Amino acid sequence: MKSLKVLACAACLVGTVSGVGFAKDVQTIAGSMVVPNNVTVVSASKTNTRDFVEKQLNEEPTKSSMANMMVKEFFQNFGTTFDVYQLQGADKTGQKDAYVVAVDVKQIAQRVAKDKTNDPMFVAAMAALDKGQIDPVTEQLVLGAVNKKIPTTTTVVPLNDPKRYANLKTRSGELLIKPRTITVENAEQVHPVAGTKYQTYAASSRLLYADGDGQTPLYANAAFVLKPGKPVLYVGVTTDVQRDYFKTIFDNAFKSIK
Amino acid sequence: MRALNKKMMTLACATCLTIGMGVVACADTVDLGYGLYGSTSPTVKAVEVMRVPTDAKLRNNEQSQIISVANKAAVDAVNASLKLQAPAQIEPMKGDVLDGFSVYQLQGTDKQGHHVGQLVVVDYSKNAIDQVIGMNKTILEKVPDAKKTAIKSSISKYVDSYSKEKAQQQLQGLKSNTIEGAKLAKDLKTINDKLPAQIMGAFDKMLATDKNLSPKSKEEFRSYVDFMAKQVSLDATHVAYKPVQTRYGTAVTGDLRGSLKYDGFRNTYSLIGYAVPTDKGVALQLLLSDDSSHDYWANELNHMYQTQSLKGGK
Repeated sequence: MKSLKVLACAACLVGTVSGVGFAKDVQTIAGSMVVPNNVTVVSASKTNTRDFVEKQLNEEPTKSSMANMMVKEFFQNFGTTFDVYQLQGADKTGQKDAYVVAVDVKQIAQRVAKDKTNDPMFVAAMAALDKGQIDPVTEQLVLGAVNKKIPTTTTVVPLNDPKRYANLKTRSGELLIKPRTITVENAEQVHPVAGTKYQTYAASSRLLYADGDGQTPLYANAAFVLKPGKPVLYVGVTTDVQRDYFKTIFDNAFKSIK
Repeated sequence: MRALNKKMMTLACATCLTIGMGVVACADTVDLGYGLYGSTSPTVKAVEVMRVPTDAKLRNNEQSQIISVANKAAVDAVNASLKLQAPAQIEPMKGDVLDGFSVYQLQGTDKQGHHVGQLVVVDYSKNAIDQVIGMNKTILEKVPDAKKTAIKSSISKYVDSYSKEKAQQQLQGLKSNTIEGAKLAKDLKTINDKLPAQIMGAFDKMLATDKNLSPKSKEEFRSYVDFMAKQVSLDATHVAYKPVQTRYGTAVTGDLRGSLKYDGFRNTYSLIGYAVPTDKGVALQLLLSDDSSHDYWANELNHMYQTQSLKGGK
């Protein structure tokens, strides 16, 4: 019995040590995020290109003061209100990479809303985002409404109406504007994530974009992290063949934000 | 009742036949040029993006125009490069470099997911290959003896003109090679150390021919490109080539797996190539895909070409 306890303790210890040894913290706009040690994360806001472009624009501003203000604001928010990360890894099937876009939803909503900021619905939504909490009743209402729109089976969603452009043809008689569709496969419903520091909702799906006969198979995994005062939407995107590698990494990374 | 059973049986047979035919009909054909055609696996679809047949009689007006423009651009590019880089004065390239080309998107699915790959086929004419052999011969004859040692391998040392038989004979004697790990890292370092200077060298030559930009704009433009050139690097995890026997005869196949990096970000890729000698020229086929799809497309091309390893010589 004693030896069993020792074995169990040893197993726990090994598990903890390896858990610690195989993960690292990466800073993102909502806080730190955990990724495996063998995954490299690069951030667009910390590149040499960002510094170079910012320096060039400061040294040689454009003639329009409005454009200069927008550029200044863009760089002030780049890395705090929004950012783009690339996750780089590898396994036996090859090298892997995925992009993650992070956006401070409150900041963006306030900029986009402008004259609608007094709307009671907007005020209520902003209050909830400030608090970083959605009450259970609103949560059920919102999740019910959103999930009703997420297909539970493989569904082809048309993105344009090719009949409208049926007369536009190339010299060889092909349609100039081809039917564009997105096929939603294995879509995961939006669900609350357990065990997080901030209230978090996540969803994922395989997305097969088709333009005529050409295809772009993608996989997207998104999480809405309700950090009080700074709610951030993370959207991870990679190719469909890298889905198995990145699904667990995305799930764990979004869950770990603190 | 018997009549009904018979009808039901006929209907069932027709259904089976239709479904069966449907499955068989899924395999697609790709034009590899010079009369070579490849068949994909039943589960792989080939979508034609662009095609210019090597047989001029099979081209429409649009395709004839495309190949004419492509050939002019190819001859101009080769001659411009010769002018700048050839160590001796040589006759410029004449006639057609390309006999045809095609681009397909291959689409397939397995448990890993949906795979896509761009299959690019370029058909190099015998005319162009013969001229390249001639140019190499001229260079070897004209350069001073001191520089001759720097020219490690020249195609003209092995053949005086192109033919399918000569090319296949050379390929059968080709020793396969794989570069990975420390050796590859060392080679890449050498390439990457020179890369910014090479990009700037090419850019400066291009800039020198531009008469529309002011000296100030040129300088400004140059500083941007100079900065960007320093952020670019190449990475690779595997480079290999080997002679193989295919359904089209002896060929050479190669793999390049790696990534193109810019300022910390990277774009990973896998490139699988086949070069197949034919009587009229060499059909070069390249399949570009996600690095994670490498094994899927390597298997598909092995199926398409019915590839078998050759021991190789030397």
